[in-house]
Amino acid sequence: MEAPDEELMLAYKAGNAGAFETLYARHRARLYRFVLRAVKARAVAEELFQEIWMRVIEARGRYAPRARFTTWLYTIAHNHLVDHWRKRGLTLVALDGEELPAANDPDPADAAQARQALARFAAALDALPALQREAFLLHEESGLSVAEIAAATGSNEEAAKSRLRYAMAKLKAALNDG
Amino acid sequence: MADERDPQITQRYRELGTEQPSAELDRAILGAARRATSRHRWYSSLAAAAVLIFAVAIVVQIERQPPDQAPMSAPATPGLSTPAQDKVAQEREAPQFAPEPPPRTESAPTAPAPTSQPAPAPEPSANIAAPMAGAPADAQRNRADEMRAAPQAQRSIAARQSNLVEAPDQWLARIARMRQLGQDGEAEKELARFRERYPDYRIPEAMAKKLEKQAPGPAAK
Repeated sequence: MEAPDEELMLAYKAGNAGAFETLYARHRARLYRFVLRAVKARAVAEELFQEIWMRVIEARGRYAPRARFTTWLYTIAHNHLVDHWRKRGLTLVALDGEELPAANDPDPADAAQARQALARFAAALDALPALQREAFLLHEESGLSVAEIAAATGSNEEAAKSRLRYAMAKLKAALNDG
Repeated sequence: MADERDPQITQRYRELGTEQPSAELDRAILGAARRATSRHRWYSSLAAAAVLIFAVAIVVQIERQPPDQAPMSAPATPGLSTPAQDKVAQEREAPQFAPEPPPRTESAPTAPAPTSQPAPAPEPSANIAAPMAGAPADAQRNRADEMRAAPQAQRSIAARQSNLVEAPDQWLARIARMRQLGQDGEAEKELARFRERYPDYRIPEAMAKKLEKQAPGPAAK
């Protein structure tokens, strides 16, 4: 049976580098895609990805398994992303009050249409407001629950749920559009 | 509802690709992780060696001391002076009343308070759309008084709301103020919430001391 993440992180805290390697192998791809889709540029994503793990390494002494390791990891990732956006003069504005796009009925699609649909989906994901995109990525890519998204992003469950709902509705509309 | 995935969206999302970090990036991170643990071992060994040398030095010193030699400053009670007794002596010399903390000289409200420690890397607030460092110093200073006056329920709501917008250093300053006011229970809870929210935040040593539970001061006459 595989050791849980929290146990591995505690082992790493105690000086077991092998435990970190297992932990890293488990989370590297998902965290990388989360960062990449949040910032879009590969070079920036690689830099941020490395910095997030450096912070994990640095914070190991203070680690205490109060929540799932995944939530802890993505809390650090979220803080670092917000820092990154702030340095670039960008602000995160929650557009939770906006109207939901109307969902259309799905059309049957052939291969070409599927490619177009995928492109539309990618564009819709890119076009999401940062907080909504983050909520979606945390849910879809990283497997966080609404409560965990709220914890990782320092918001409340209602806000997290709302962001996720708006993101899903927009993506669904993009899927059904055309 | 929101925890349930939409299979169509999940499928499309997966089709976007499964990008991975480069092998070079993996090597850099894993290398840093290994170096950090080897440093840990090195520090631990050094600390253990230092403690051992210190202990041996004390034993040697005690053995060399003639048994009838009285200590330079003999305590009122027989026996060697213990660190606890030294502490009591120091406290006797200390003023009876703990002085009020010096007034803060926050001339620029937006600037972080200077500390003896190097400033930590800037940390994000919980929501950067909200004003980040706009709270004037006076408002900060008065907050504790207001909180004392406010009913318990109102106070916890206010604290929770303020956490949504305050920067980490402001949050810590508020917890330190709670300690000063003897609100240890609330301070503990807030500190736990802070650690959960900013797990990688390095608290400067000076601030960490303020966040520790304060020892009860000498009784006022």
